[in-house]
Amino acid sequence: MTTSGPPQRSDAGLVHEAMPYLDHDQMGAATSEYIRAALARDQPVLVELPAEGMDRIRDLLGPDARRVRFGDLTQDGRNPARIIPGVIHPFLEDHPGRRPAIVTEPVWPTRSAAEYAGCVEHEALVNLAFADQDVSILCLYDLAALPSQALADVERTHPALREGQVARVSAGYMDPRTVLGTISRLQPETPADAERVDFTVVAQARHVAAEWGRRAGLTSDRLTDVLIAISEVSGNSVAHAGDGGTVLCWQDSGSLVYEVRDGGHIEDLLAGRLPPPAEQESGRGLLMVNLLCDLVQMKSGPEGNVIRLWMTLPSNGGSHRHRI
Amino acid sequence: MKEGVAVPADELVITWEGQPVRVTVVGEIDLATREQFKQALARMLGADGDTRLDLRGVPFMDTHSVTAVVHCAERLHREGGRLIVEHPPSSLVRVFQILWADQNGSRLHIAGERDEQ
Repeated sequence: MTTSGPPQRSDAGLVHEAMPYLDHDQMGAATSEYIRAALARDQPVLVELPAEGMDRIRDLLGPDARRVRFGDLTQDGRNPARIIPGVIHPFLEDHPGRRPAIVTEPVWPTRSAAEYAGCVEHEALVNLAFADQDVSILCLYDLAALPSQALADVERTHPALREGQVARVSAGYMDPRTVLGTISRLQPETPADAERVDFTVVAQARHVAAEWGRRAGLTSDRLTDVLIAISEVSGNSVAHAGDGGTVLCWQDSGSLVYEVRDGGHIEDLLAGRLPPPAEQESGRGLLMVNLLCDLVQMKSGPEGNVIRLWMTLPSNGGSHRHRI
Repeated sequence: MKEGVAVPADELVITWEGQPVRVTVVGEIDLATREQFKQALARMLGADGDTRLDLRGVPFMDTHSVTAVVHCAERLHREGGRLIVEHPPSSLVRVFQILWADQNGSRLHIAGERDEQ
C-alpha cells in the first residue's frame, strides 16, 4: 500500500496508522503534509498532541491551521482510557457522514510505566472501537523518547506504518484481543500497607473514599470526581458481584490511588470507552470514570475485578483539571 | 457531605407539593435509592408548566440518576413543560456538564448554586 496523505479511494472503515519518528523536523514536515492532503479532500482534521508538537504543526501549516481543530493531548488524553471516549469519539460525532482525519501522539517522555501500558491498551482498542467507522487515525511515536519495546508495541497495535507519505502494512500487527491479553494492567503492585475497607453498599465505599481524599488534600472539585467515580465502580460491585467488594487507597508519585476489588467479571473489552445510545438510561458509569480520572487501570478475570482510579494530588499537579 | 443526617442510606425522603408541582428530595441518590427516585421522576411527567425539583437535601447523585433527570427534563420539554432543578449537588452539575452541556437536545434548567463538602 502506497498513498499520499490519509488514504482516500472508497475509504470504507478505519485506517489506523502509526508514524514512528526520530527526527522532529521530519515528523513535522510529514505530518503537516498529511494534514494538508486531508484538508484538500475536505476531511475534518483534529490534531491532539503534546503542546510542543502541536506548536510545530501549527507553525508549519500557517493559514491552513485555521481549518484544523487542535487539542493538548497531555490534558485531554492524560488518562489513556479517555482518548477514545473523550477525544476521538466526540470528533466523529461532530462530523456525521464525513471521514475525519485525526493525528494523535499518546505517549510522551514523562508517561509512567502504568500510563504506557494504558496507551498500548488504548491503541489496541482503537482497532475494535472504530472498526466500522469511516475515519483515518495517524499516531505519532517519538522513538528516541520511548521505552525500548515501543516499536514492537506500535507494530502490533497498528495495521499500517507510515514513513513520510509512504504507508506499508505492519508485519507485526496482531489481533487486538491477543495484544490485550499480554498487557500488564496492575503495575505497580498494591502496597501491603494500603488503607482497606470492605463494603456492601455504595455509600460505604463513597464515604470512606471521600474521607481519604479529603485527608490527602484533594480539592473539592476533584473530590466530587472521586465520589462519582467510586460510586460507579462500587455500584458495579454491589449490583453484579454478589456481596460487594473492597476499596483500598494509597499514594504513589504524587497521585492518590483508589482500588476496588470484587468477585465480578467485566466481559466487554470496550466497557467505558464508548457512550450508549442517547435514550438509554444506564451504561455511562465506567464512561464517566474514564472521563474523570487521571489514569484508570482495569483488570477482569476469573479471580474477579480490580479497578484502579488515579487522581493527581494538588501539590504535584497544580490546579490541574480536565478540560471538558 | 454531612455525616449523621437522620436519613437511612437506603431510603429517600420525598415530599410533594401540588400545582405547580414541586418535589423535594432528601438523601443520597445511588444504586440503593435510585429506583425510589426514578419513581418520583416518573410521577412528575405529565405535569403542566414549570415543575420544580428541589435537591438541596441531596449531597450526592450518581451518573445513572443524573441521566434519569436529564431524560425527565427532555420529556417534560417535549410535552411543553419545563423542569427546574434547584440547588443540585456538585455531582449532578459535573455529570451534566460532561455528558450533556453541549447538546442542544438537553433542556435541563438549573437554579441556585450551593456550597459543597
